[in-house]
Amino acid sequence: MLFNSLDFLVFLAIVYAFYRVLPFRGQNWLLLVAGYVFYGWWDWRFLFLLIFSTTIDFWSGLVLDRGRLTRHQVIVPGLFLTGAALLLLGCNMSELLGRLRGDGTEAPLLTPMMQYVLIGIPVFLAGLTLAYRVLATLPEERRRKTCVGISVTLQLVVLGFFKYFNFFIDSLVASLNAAGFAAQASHFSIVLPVGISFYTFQSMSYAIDIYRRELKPTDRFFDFAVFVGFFPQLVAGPIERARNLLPQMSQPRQITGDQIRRGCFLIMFGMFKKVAIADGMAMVADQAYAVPDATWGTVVAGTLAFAVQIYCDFSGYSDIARGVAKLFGIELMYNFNQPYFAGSPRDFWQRWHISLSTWLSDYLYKPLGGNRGSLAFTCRNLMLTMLLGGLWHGAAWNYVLWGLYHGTALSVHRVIVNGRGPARDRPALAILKITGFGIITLYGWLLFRARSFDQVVNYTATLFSGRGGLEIDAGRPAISAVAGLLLLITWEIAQYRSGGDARFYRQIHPTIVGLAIAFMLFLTLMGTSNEPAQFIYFQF
Amino acid sequence: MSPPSSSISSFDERAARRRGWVTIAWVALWLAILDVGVNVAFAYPNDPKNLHPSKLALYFDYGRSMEGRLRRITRSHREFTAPITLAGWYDPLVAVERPAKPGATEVTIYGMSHAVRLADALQATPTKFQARSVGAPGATTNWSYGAFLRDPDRRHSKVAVLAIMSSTLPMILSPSPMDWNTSFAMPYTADRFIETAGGLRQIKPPYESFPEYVSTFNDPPAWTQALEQFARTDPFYDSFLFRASWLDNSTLVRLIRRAWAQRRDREWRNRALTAQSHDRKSEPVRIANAIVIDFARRARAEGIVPVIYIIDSFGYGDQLTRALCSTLAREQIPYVSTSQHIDPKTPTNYLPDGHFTDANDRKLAATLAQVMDRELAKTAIGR
Repeated sequence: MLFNSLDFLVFLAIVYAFYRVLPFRGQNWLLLVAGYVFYGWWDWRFLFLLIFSTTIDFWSGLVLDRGRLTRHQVIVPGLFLTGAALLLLGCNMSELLGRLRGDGTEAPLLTPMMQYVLIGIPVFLAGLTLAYRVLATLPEERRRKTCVGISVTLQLVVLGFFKYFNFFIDSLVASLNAAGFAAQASHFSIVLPVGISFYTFQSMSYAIDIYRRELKPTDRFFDFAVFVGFFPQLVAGPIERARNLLPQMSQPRQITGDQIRRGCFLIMFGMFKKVAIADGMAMVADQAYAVPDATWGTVVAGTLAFAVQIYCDFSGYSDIARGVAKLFGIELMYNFNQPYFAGSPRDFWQRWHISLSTWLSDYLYKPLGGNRGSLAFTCRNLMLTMLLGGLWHGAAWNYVLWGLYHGTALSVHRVIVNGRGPARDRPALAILKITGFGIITLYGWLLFRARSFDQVVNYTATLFSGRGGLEIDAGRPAISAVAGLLLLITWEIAQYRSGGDARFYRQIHPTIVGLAIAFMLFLTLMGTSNEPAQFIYFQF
Repeated sequence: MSPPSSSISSFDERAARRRGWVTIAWVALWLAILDVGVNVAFAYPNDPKNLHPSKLALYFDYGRSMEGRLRRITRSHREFTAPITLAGWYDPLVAVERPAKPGATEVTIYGMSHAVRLADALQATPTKFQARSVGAPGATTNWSYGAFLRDPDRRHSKVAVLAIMSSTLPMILSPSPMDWNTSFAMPYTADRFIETAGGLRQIKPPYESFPEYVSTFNDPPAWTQALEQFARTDPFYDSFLFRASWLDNSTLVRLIRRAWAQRRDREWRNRALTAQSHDRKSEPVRIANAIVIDFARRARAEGIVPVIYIIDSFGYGDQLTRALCSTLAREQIPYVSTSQHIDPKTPTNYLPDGHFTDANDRKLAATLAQVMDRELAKTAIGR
C-alpha cells in the first residue's frame, strides 16, 4: 500500500477511528492486524517472512537473556508461525479472498507448496526444539554467543537468499568466465519482498541489543510482533531500535494535541515532498538515464533531478511515517536532517538516512573496532562499513561502487581532519564547504542511479569531456516540482538559519506559515496529476 | 547545529492550540485567495474558436467537468462551435478520399489518427492501393466497427482495415470519449457492443450527429435521458467527472477532479492489462475478439478482404497481439501488428505526440501492402 494512494487514506482513516476508541491491548491487536494488511497488500506470501523473522527473534531474545522459554512462550508463537505457514504459503490466498468476495475463479485453494509446508513445519519445529535443548545445556556466555549467532545467521540467510542470491551467482559466473572457466548462470526466479532489508535490520538489532545487555527482552510475543510490523515504518524505515519503539508498544500511550498537530503537519509536508516534487522530477531523471549517449547537460540535469527526487521521495516517506506514528501516539526517530546542508562526508551521514547510518555505526563500524586504532585501521573500518552500507541498498555493483565512493570520501575526510573536532566556520567558508561537498554528493548519486557499470563509465567520461555541451536531452520537470522545489529550498534555508530546529516556524507569524502551508497543499494537489511513482526505497 | 527538538514539556498547550487554529484559518484564507487568483490569472478563453489558450490556462482547466467543457465549446451553429465538436460523427460519416491512382485497388482504413496516418503513408507509397480513411480523433475500435457498419460506400473497397490500439483497448466498452477522455471534450458518440450467445449485440448511442447532439444538449429532459443511457451502458461514466456544478469554478476542485480522473483511468487500464499480458477474461479483450470475428465475417460475406491493424502504443509490448492472436489464427484473419516491425519500447520510434515517425508509418504501410497483396492473390485463386 502506498502512502500517496487513496487506498492508504481510507485504510488510515478506518484504523485510526478504531484505534481512538479501543483500550490499550485492543490498540496493539489493531496495529498488528493493520501492519499485516498493509504489508500483505503487495503480496500475502511474503507476510510469512515477516512472521518468521518476528518469531525467531522473539525466541532468540528470551533464550539469550534467560536461557529458557515458558510453555506459553513456546506454544503461542509456534502456533502463530504454523498457522501463517499453512495460510500464507499453503493456501491460495487470492483465490480464497476471491471466493469470500464472491468472484473466485474456481482455481485450487491449496498451492503446490502445501505438501512442502506440511513436511517442513514438523521438521523445522523439531530442529528448533533440538537446538533449544542443546542451547539450554550450554554455559551462559557460550549460550548467548551461539544464540545470537543463530538468530543473526537465520536473518541474514533469508535476506541474502531473497536479495543477493542471483547477484552473487551472476558475479561468480562472471569471475569464473574471466578466469577462463566456462560457466553458465542459472537463476531462480526470486521476487524481492518489499522492505525486507528494513525489517530484517530492525529485528536483528533487538537480538544484538539483548546480547549486549543493552535491552531486556519482552515477554509478550504480540507486543514484539507489533514492534516488528508497525506499519508506518515497516517497508521503508526509519529502521527503529527496539529500545526506542518496543517500550512504546508495551505501555499504554497518551496522544497529545501536539502530536496530532505535528503529525498532521508531517504527513502534509511528506506528501508535498513526494507528490509535488519527487514525482514531478522523476521523469527528468528517468529520461536522462535512459539516453544512450547523453550530453554533459543531460547528465548534470538528470543527476540534479535525481538528487532532488531521492531526497524528497525518501525524506517525504520518513516524514509521513513519523507523522502517522505521531497520530497513534508513537514517536519514531529522525531519519533526515537537511542532508544537503552537509559540509563534509561525516556531516552528511549524520543527516542522511540517520536510522541506517547509526545502525551501521552501532552494529558494524564499532564492532569492527571503530576509530579505536590507527588511522589506517579506522579507514579500513569506514570502507568496510560503507561497502556493506552500499550493498544494503541493493544487489548491484553500482551500489557497491557508491558505498566505496562514500567510504573513500569518509576516509579522506578522516585523514584531513585527523581527530580534530568540527570547527565553527565563517558563513562564506560554510557555503563553500556545502557547495563543494554538494558536488561530491551529486557524483555519488550518479553512481547510485546508473543502470549499469558501463553507464557509470560513459557518463563519467561525458562529465569530464563536456561532450555535447549544455544541450539537455531529457523531459521537463512538472510545474508542481519546480514551484515546490523553490518553496522547499526557502523553507529549508529558513530552518538551517534557525539552527536546524524542525519547529523553527513557531517563531514566524501564523500568516506567513499559513501561506507556506497553503502553497504546499496547492502544489500537492497539482502534483496529484503527476504520474505516481513507487517510493524509491521500497526496493531496498 | 542543535538537533531538532521533539519535546514540548515547557510548551503551553493552550497557546499552541490557539496558534494551530489561527494557522489553519490562515491556510484556509490563503487557499481561497490562491483559488481565486489562479482563476483570474489563468482564465480559460470562452471563445470556442480559440484553440490556443496558454499552457497554464489549459493546465488549470483540465479538471473541469465534461458538461462544463461542452457548455464552453458547443454552439448551435457550425460556424461558431469548436471544430472538435464537429469531428467523429456517424451521421454523416466523413470519409477522407485521396487523389485517385489509375487502376488502383481501393482500401478503406477505419480507426483513429494512427489509421489516417497509415492511409496517408499507403497512398504515398508506390503500390497499387488507393487509400480511403474513415476516422475520428482517438477513436476506439467500437467506434471504428460502428463506422464500418454504417459506411454506405464500403463495398467499393476491396479491402477493409480495422485499427485496434493497445492504449485505448479498455475504452472499447465506451460509447463516447466524453466518458473516458477527461482531458479533451469530444462529444461524438460510438456504438456499444455487448457479447451475446450468438455474437455481438449493438447498442446505438443516444445521438449520432452534430445537430442531434446540440438539440439534445440544449434540451434538459433529453440530455438527462441521454446521460442515463451513458450511465447504463458505459462503465467509464462517472457523474463526478461528468456533471457540471458550481464547483467547476474552483481551481482546487478541478485539481482534485483531475487526479481522480487519472486514478480511474489507471485503474481501468490495469484491469485489462497486467505487466505481462492483457487479461483474456476481461470484458475489453473479449469484446475486442468478438468485434474482430464479426468484422471479418461481415466483410468476407460482402467480398471484402478484412485486415486487422494492431497498434502497440509506446511503452506497451506485444500484449495486444498476443491477446488477439488465437482468434486471428483460428478465423484466418490477416493482420499487421506494429510490435512485430517496430519496437514499442524505443522512444525514438515514436513522435512526441505518440504517433509513429513518418519513416515507421511508411514501413507499416509497405507491410500492409504486402499482406493485402497476398490476401487478394488468395482470393483470386479461390475464385
